[in-house]
Amino acid sequence: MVEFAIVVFAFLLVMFATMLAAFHSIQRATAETAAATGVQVAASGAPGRVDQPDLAGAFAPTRDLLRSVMFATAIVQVPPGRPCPPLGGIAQDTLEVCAYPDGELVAETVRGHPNLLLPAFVADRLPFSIDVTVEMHAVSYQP
Amino acid sequence: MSGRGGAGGRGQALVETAVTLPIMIVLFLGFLAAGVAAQGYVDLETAVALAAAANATAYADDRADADRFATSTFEATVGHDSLLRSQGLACSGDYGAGGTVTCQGSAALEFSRTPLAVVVPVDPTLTAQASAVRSPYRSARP
Repeated sequence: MVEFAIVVFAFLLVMFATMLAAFHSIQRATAETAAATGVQVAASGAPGRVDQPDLAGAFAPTRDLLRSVMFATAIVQVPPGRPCPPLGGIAQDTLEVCAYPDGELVAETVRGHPNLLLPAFVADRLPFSIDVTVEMHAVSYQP
Repeated sequence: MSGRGGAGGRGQALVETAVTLPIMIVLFLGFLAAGVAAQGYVDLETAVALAAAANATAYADDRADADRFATSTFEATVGHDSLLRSQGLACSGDYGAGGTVTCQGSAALEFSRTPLAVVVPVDPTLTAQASAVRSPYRSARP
């Protein structure tokens, strides 16, 4: 009986950890896709100023893609042009989206701690944060 | 002669544990390595897709600039993944307006920098490919 209880507990623990890891993989892959989508908008010309990157325009498509897998997570836009703060400075259940210039390139970062649908005392101890940065050369519109 | 709880039984349990535990650890690390590899591949795919898109935004028939746009995009994006080491990007195709350019990028996944090197003693090379179409209205450099 004791052996059975130990085995069942271990089995449930491993199964739960596996499901959590799979869920985190989906969240991270979506963050990568969302950042890549956003940075393509950011690297394009801004409305009315086609020779300037559209940093502010990157947030909406990124947020729309992230929302599908980030349950109960606040998706926050950092003022365009500023890099994201380090992970330690971002609150739990929050993702920050930052688009900023990097020389001839434009970068977009999605960084933070998504809600894992777990009690806070468990989620706080898990290393499942997201930190994705992609860059793209700014589009060179002709004058 | 010893029973289930005797010295023989304890010895058998010890041998079973000694055999099972390393297998479990290797399996666990193997699954972890597969996850890290999948993550690295997603990052590389993204970098190559963005590089191809950047290539297609350059002026038509300006191969040098188009390749520079693509390479800088690829290198910068791969550089943000701490486990990927770029091994280069190559693009080819039609650089004219309306043409399709295909880029292929590769990177080494550096397991050697992690404890996963125990189960993956080599740094595998990942390769990804992506295409992009230049706008048919893209002008040549003035």
